[in-house]
Amino acid sequence: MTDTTLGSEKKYREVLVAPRAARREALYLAAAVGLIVLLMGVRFYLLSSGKEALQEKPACQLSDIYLQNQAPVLYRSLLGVVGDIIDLHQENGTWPDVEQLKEEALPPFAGNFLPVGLRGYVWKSYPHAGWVDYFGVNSEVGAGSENQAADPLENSFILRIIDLNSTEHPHPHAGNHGTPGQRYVGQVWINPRVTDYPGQELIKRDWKWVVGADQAGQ
Amino acid sequence: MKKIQVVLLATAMVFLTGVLSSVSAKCNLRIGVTLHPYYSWAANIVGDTATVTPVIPPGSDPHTYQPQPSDLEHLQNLDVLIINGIGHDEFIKPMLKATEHKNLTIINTSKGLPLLPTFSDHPKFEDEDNGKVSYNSHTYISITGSIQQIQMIARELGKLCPENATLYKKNARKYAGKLRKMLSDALAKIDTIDTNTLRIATVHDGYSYLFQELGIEVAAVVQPRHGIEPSARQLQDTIKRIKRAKVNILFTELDYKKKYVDIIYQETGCRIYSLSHISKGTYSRDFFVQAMQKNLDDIVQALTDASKAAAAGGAG
Repeated sequence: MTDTTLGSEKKYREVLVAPRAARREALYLAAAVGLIVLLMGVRFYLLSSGKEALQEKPACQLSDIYLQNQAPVLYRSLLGVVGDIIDLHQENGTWPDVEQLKEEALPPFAGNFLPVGLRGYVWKSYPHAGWVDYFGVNSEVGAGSENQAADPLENSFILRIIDLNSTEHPHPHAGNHGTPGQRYVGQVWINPRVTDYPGQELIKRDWKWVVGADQAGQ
Repeated sequence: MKKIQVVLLATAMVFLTGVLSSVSAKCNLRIGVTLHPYYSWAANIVGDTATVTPVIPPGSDPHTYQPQPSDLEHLQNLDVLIINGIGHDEFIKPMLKATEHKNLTIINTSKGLPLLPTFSDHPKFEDEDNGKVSYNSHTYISITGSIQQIQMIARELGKLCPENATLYKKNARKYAGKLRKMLSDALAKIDTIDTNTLRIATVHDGYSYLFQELGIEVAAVVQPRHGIEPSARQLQDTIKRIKRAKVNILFTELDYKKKYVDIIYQETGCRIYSLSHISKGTYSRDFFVQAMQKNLDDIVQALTDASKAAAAGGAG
């Protein structure tokens, strides 16, 4: 601010006014942008919370969504017959063998219920005191072979059904998935190689236990 | 002495009548279902030993259904409710909350079932895994998955009604046999078709479970959700995707409008067929088998036509 005197005439006070910085407007704009960003964030969170987080898994487990090509069909097919095998076990007191399962028209043991690429598996049953293993190996690739480049597929499968009422259990076993009173559980194990039946040494021999969304981590 | 005997006899009779009536009441289950397939499955499992009723009226769209007060009253009178639980019957959640029916047994058909991720979340199609995944809720549009769910429902109903457990298992096994036969017949027909030159797309990924068990790869899913009316831009995008994926068969839904079918055909030349979503129509015991058989027949027909056209050197 400067005082200006023009001789004996009136004194004028000169006031310097700074140009408007539009600070308030800028503040409002920033608040509006912030609010929009916040709302977008909330919406993103709400949308993403509709998805299920993949649970942490032990190294021996593989999430079923990572199975490729036709392997999921075999996996589903094996889980689909667990109920039938359990029924047969309860009816007869022994685990049904592969021939019986074929007679019952149960896939994948009866191959005509599978796409043509999955009909080359040879299945054998291995009953134990407290569980049974159904071991299947792809007969269309040579021993020791891994995934075929054109159609990557797990070449060896085991369907393991465990009687939780028995005192002998294989390791690891799934417990009862939190369902009270459940007597049996089914597991599917895979190996990319064409291999011999591994007995109990599944983890040591690089087999992976395939788990669904609600089984991981057990 | 005689008086005492009479009193004891009367007491025993009252007690026995009470026990018997409670058993029979427990075993005349009132089963509610949220979706059409569950009606057919439950009706085939229980036969005449229980009553099966839908929670929403026939013709209603389960994705958009708004519950009515009468629906809540119906829910109160159920013993068991069979649900999808992973997104196909979201309408049931507020209904269950509103009724607070503590004695209602809920059978979640998706529990323990191997699920497919939605097409966009599939690791094969998604480079970056953000650690979260959403699952495809159309678990009932498949044979193998349906059988697994049917067996689970039979087991759960058997627990609630032990004297009928054997019957439920037997019925479930018989029904599963019928479904497996449908699958093996379709597979036998597909075996005779040269599918190597065929590229298949669907309007949404509701049919992924079914195509997977038929050994057919879906090359593209051209719309994110079903039941939406595509805008001009979305339709243009659909056409671009079909061309990019070199699709020669597109499977739409039964209610996909003919005008869109015509535009897509004119622009891309790909053959278009409709499949049932199995969630509309009259509730009946045979509905699921009929709808699924029609889907299988239409898939076989589509593959046959496209394969012949490809062999003849046609565009499809």
